[in-house]
Amino acid sequence: MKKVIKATVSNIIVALFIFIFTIGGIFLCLGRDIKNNISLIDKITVVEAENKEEKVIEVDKITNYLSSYPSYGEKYATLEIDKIDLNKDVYFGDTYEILKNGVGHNAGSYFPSEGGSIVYLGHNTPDMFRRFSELEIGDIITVKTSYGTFNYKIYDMQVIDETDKDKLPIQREEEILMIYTCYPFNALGHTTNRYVVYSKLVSGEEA
Amino acid sequence: MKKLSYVLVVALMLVVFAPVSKAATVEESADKIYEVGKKYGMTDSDKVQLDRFLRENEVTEAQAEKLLEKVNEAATIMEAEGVTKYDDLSTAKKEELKDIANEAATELDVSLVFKTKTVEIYKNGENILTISSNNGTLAYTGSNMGTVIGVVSLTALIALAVVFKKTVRAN
Repeated sequence: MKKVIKATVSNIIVALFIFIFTIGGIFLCLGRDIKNNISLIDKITVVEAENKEEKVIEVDKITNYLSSYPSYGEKYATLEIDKIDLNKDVYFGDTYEILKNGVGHNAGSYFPSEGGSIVYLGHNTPDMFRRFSELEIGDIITVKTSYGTFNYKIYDMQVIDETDKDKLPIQREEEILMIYTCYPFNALGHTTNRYVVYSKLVSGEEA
Repeated sequence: MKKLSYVLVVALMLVVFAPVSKAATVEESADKIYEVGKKYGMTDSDKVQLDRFLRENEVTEAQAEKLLEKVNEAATIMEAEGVTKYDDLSTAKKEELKDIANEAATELDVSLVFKTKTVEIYKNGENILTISSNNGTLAYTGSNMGTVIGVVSLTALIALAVVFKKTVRAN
């Protein structure tokens, strides 16, 4: 009996070591690849604007384009949704690193005030977009930038597949803010669905 | 022949006497490039980025024309190879395309860094844009805790199975 117990204990200890070294090995060797498998593009350092000279951004009255743009990875706005007590920083770009810090702004979409499609995205974590299920048509989303404050009213919500890029059309006929996150909201593991909130610009006040 | 000459003269006159407007030229350039590029997977999102890039970097008309020239060169290669996706090209042709891209970048005073799924554009040492390919899917914005839990659970199960088997054998 003693021999059996001794053998079992030593086997458990061996198993524990295998377990620890395996986990350590996976993250050491494949940690970056694991991230890359679920990230949009390679890591880009999130730019903190604190020690950088702040760009003065203005809206061209004729074209509605911005006079200059934030650098990729730079925080340039805040996203507020009072209904779900959300107040998060918005960064230009949507890399894995950016999404860890706040809301990402897809670089292939327009900026608030430019009169086109704006695509924001963020994680479905409790501190980010987990409470999107509580949003209703008519709720207001506010984007505050250095060049103005813009309010958008929700008009639709949809669950789409990750390949349904057509459901996030890029156009410049109407200013629409589309925000998406993974769905189901509390899914563990990889999910191929996205929950998209569609909202239209209802008011904008330039700084 | 007469008709062709007449058409050429009209086209030349339009080019020479057409009003030159910087904003219109940049948008036109982006439009023209998009017309060529969309056959090979260029999307509306790509066009927005291109348009923003041209405006932000104050690309001149001459530079924009050169860029379009390079785009057409690249398109010629794709057409000659009978493909619409970069990945379907041979290694040699991919390198040719990269060379063309680098020549275009030189015209615009930027440099390119090619990575596995991305192309980074640098100006004066600063990364000003990154173009990526994520296989046509929307970004992943879910919890990655599942991946960790999955890996940990699987390893734990394997470890326990080993222990159990050895214990049974010992008995």
